Amino acid sequence: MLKWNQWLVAALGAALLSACSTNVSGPIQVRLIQPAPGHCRYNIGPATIQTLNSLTNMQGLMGRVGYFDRSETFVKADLQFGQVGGTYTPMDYGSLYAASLYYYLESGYFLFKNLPTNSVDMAQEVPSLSSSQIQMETYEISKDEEVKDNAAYLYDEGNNTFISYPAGDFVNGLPFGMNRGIMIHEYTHFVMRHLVRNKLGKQTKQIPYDTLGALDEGMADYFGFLSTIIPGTPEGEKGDPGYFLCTEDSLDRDLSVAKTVNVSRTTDCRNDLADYDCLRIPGSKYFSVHSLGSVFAYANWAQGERVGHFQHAATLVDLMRKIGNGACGSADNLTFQSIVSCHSGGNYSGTNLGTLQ
Amino acid sequence: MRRLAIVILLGLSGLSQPLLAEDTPAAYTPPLMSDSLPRVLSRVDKRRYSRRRSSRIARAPQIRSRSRAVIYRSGRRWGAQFSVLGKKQNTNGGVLGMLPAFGIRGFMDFPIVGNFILEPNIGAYVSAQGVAELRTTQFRLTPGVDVLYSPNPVARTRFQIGITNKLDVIWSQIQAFNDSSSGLGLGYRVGPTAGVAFKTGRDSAFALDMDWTFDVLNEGRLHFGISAGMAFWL
Repeated sequence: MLKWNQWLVAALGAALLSACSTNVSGPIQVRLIQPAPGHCRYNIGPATIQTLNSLTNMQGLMGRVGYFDRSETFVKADLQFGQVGGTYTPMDYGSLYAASLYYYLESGYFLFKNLPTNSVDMAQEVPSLSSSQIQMETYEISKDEEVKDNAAYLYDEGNNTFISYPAGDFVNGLPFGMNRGIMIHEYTHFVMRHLVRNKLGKQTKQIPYDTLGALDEGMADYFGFLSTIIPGTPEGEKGDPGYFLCTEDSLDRDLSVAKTVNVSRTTDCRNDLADYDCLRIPGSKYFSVHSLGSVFAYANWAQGERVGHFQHAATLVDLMRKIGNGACGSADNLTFQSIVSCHSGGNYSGTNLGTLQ
Repeated sequence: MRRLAIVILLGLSGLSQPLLAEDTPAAYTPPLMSDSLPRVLSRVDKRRYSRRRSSRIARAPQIRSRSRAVIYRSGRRWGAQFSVLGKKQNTNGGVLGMLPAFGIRGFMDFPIVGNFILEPNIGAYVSAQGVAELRTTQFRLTPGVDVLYSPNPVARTRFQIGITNKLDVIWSQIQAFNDSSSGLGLGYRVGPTAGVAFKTGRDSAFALDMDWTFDVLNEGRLHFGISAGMAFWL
């Protein structure tokens, strides 16, 4: 029988071992929020993070999760995890947020890597992937207002940055950075950047902006939806086409809702990425890249329902490569008409996308 | 000579006797006797008098000297405090760069050598953060031992400084929509502590304590604790 002082030494030893072991490399099990079968249904349980080099630094193949503070410095986030039975548990909201961001982006990496055909290993395509910044709850001022309730992917001179902004007044479910579909939406922008935009060899604004921007948003919406599919049960395999609504229900981004382009009014909101007033579909008189992209996403969701989503997703990766290689026409003349005709396996009937010059 | 003495005594008695007989009333009471003690005590008067006398005798002399106070005190002290524990947090959601946890703290002081005091203590805290449907809650139990030095442990205003070390047992719960999950974490914190206690009564004091600790098991993350409450001498 141990005496009390021996119990104390044993407890301190266990604590020391436990804490020292948090600086581990993957694969590791971390308790996180994950989509469950059904609309806006989530489970909290162990998730396997496979590519992590350091849990306490939250750094690995996908880059490094950190905090972009008010002094505009990217710093290591203060994280703490506990371990019981081989599973790590975040000890506060920030640690949960950081681990979730890394895990969701890693899910996007494996989503593209494990496609049945046309799979893409972005670590091969972009060797600097592990140098990416993954900014959690970034502090940023735009037009004299703090940016909240959003997420983004930025590319600047070879540097990849994934951003999640703090939650504001519009979040009614999970914050943007905690919604796996939304973060894989951002990861898909990263894929589009390297498979399409950089291959085209032109600056974004030299390419017809609405067309490529809308294609980017539509691809991102659809691959975000793919991340909500949970194989194994019929309900799980349906995924959650309304995953955007689990974060902000005012967004008109439910992929399963039919949308049609009003061809006569496509220019009023051009080049306005952030104007959500332009997201009125159908029957809206305005369109932005997000609204046009959501028409593209709907058409691909409908086709995925017919042929199988992962098989259909592979045709979209093929489309990305063809556009990047110039097989769908020159960058200067890229239109949805050329994209639709270039998409082997695509079906855009009833959306009017194929008529957009 | 004997005759002379007898004559003088007789003369004096002869002078005084007429004076007393003329000026003294029949019911004369000596003034001193009437103020201090009734001539005839009733049973009630006896009891009152007896109680006053006994209380006057039994009461200890009022202690005004600080140095004499320790004579009748054991030197042991216990206390209960409301406490706030802040954990350094550079991400959003904290206050002044700290994530606050609120709770209570209890302690017991034992004098060891000279003005050194050993203070076992335990705290229980809760902190919560959340956005919309997402909520994280941490329950923290912190047993610890402080080694303190006070220049004058029995002073009316007592100052103390020392070293504290605490074990953190943290139970963290994550809730989202209708599901929840939890896990355990540990920490071990060491750092300086300082406190002040103001006497509020014969055996009680208002105690304010602060500590700055570093979680050596979690990258040395800074914690700041402040506790306020009452302490009582045993």
